[in-house]
Amino acid sequence: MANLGTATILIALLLTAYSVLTSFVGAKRADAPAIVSAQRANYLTTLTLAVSMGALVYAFLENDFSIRYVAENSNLAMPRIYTWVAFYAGNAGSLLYVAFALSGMAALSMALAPRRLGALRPYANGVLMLILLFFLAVLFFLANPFATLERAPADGQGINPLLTHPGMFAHPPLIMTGLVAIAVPFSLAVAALLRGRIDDDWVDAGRVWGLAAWVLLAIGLLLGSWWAYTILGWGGYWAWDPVENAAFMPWLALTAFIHSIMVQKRRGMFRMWNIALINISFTLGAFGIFINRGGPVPSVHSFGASTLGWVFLTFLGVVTVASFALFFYRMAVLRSPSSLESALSREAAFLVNNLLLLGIAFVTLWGVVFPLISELATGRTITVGEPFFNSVNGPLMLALILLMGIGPLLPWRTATWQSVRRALFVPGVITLVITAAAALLFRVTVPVVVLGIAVSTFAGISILQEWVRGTLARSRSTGALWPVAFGRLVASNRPRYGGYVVHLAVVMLAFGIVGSSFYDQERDVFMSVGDQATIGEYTVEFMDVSAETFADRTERTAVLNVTRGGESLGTLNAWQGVYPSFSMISTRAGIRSTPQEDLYVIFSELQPDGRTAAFRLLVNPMVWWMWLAGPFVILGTVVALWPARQRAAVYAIPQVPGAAPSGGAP
Amino acid sequence: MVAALLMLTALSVMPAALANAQAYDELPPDLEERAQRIYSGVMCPQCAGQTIDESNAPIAEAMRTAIKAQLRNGAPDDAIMDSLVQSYGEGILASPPTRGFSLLAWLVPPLALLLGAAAVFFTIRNMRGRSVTERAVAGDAGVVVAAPGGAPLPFDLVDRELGEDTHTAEER
Repeated sequence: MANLGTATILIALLLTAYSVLTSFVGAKRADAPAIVSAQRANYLTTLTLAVSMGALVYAFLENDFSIRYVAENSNLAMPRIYTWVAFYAGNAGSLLYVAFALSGMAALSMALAPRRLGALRPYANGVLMLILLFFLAVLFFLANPFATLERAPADGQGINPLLTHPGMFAHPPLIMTGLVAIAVPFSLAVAALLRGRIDDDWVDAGRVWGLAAWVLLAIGLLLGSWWAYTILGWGGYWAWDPVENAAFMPWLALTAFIHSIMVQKRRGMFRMWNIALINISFTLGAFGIFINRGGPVPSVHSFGASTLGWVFLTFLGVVTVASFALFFYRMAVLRSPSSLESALSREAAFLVNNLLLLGIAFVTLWGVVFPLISELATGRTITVGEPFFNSVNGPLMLALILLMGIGPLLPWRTATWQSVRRALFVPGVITLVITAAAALLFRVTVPVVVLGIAVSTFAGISILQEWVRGTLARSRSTGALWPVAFGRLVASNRPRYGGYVVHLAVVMLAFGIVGSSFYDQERDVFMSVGDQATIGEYTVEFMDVSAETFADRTERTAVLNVTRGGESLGTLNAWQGVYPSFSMISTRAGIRSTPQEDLYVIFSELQPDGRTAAFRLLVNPMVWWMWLAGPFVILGTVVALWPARQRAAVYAIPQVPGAAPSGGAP
Repeated sequence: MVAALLMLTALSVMPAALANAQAYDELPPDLEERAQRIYSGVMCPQCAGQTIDESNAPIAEAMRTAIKAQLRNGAPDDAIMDSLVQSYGEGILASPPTRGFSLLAWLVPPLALLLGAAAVFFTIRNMRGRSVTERAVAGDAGVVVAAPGGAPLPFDLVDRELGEDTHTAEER
């Protein structure tokens, strides 16, 4: 297996190098056979890497501890199902996964590339293959997952217990895939720059792949939060950890990109800016890989810390310098032809949206690198932690949500103050009523929370208003039933209404974050079997504790009976696993989740008597809504991406006067 | 947040091993509030990226106990923070202090935002000011696009574009 694995990586490396060369030479000489050959090499690379992946999976399943990576990341006791997690638990394996994901994206994007991409295609292929070449070179020369040990140990070291969680099946691969997926829109933009004729050809495919990367990162981030919430045992879901930030920043830049690209699609504007945005996104993605794979900052993610830091730092440097040098070199031909007509228009709102999103990304980046700057400048270590990020990014996020309520109400080109006032009136009044009611009912007195509720409610109501008014208007003019009219409304402009679904998910997230950050309650208690403790309105009774021993761990489950106001709410199981070989206790909270609040119990320690245990009890309001946001993000993205019928080729509508579809550009 | 422990009925039958669990002593509510504010501003020195508020590592527990004791003795918050910085260094604070070099951490973000806002402001003003002829020139300078703003657009076309994409659609 080791030989097969190493050989396939070498073959993939050679194929990729060939593809890079033939792509660029073929593009330069307009040599069709070379271009086709380069693409075939691209596809073949994916197949070859699939064999490498298979070889490593097989080695894990066969417990082939002669392969160092297998010996370091699994053992005989590991349940086979976690092979998939162990695969990317270390550096070399995760790099193989990243290379495979990138290669798959490259093959898929080129195979699905629309015909109108035409002459851009070989350039894009060349850029993608060049990026892949870097990863394969690192794999082959510096981090070969198939490197063998001279003497195979009898058993491996095992997988980190924190990783044996269902969230781990999806969170890391989604983040990694999302980060490398940014390479596709990036390669399209670079292709446009390289070709030197900057038109809107790359926009459609760029938007689709930008959205794909965006949704992968969004779901990956949410799953990571869920993992942290259920297993890290502090009742939180986001800690502004450097590695979280590293995935969050490119996501923010991509969010700016998928908004701004709509302006180019619809109005032919912001050409230069969109290319800058995708450059920024990819650069931040490269920064994310650098931080994640052997970065200089300590983090809960330092699973596969390595000495590869300098390699990824070099990669980051080259990507940044090259992409922006090319950008400035071509800047002259990038000027957008149309102009902004009014500061009160959707175009202008998108500019402010970009400013806020990049502002948050910048603050986050600044917070990640400032400790390094400070250490270099003064020699003292300082921490930039949660309080900093919350107090600096919090207001920006509130402003962003407010804008989310206003922006969609602004028409393209120009609006009048009168029409804006009219559009804002109903959501404004409803917001005031709801906020006042909530403040009185739940005795909310913290100004920030009142503001948060008001802004989120406003954004939610203004989206609902758009739906209701659109549906009613359609139903009135066509006589269709409301559900039918609603369906047609959504179908008439999928990017827009899909976007609204995602906006609704953001409102849910906002409610969850505001509720759980300001109104959480927490207690640490010792209880013996039979004891009770109260938190909030809940009474928790420690009923029983049971233990079960496995080859690598002892699992203990505490059973707790929950009542509220004398009414029984059933039992909760708080779990902990003791892993002697890692000298580590892993906990899994018992959670009773309702839309109103979560009751959250962590079983942190069992006393030697076996009957007394330390628990941490929390009440976290509205966290439920954060997890509901996930499906809505996916749904909204699917709606926005759903392929329209072939009239998709319409951009800024005035360019094609005869063909302007009455239904708006899809 | 280490809230007070109500031992309820169990207190009298607690095993001897727990008799020294002083950390779970209850603080009066006003002190408890201050304690929690301090906890969330102090990092746990052995757990990557967690405050002592979040961590249940033994060292975090010990630090919380020490802070409680200081609060009970009437120490002001600043003094407690200072003593922590003395023993663990500035890195123990969860956010950079607002003095000396660390002040930069707080100053740069608002400055950058102001710069960005100014850039957006001037972009909007600039783009609004750009005249039709300038746009036509830009169109000639190699940008391959059927010059949109080049000629005044017929009203019906504008309407058609606005049609599906603004809420004014329903009002017409």
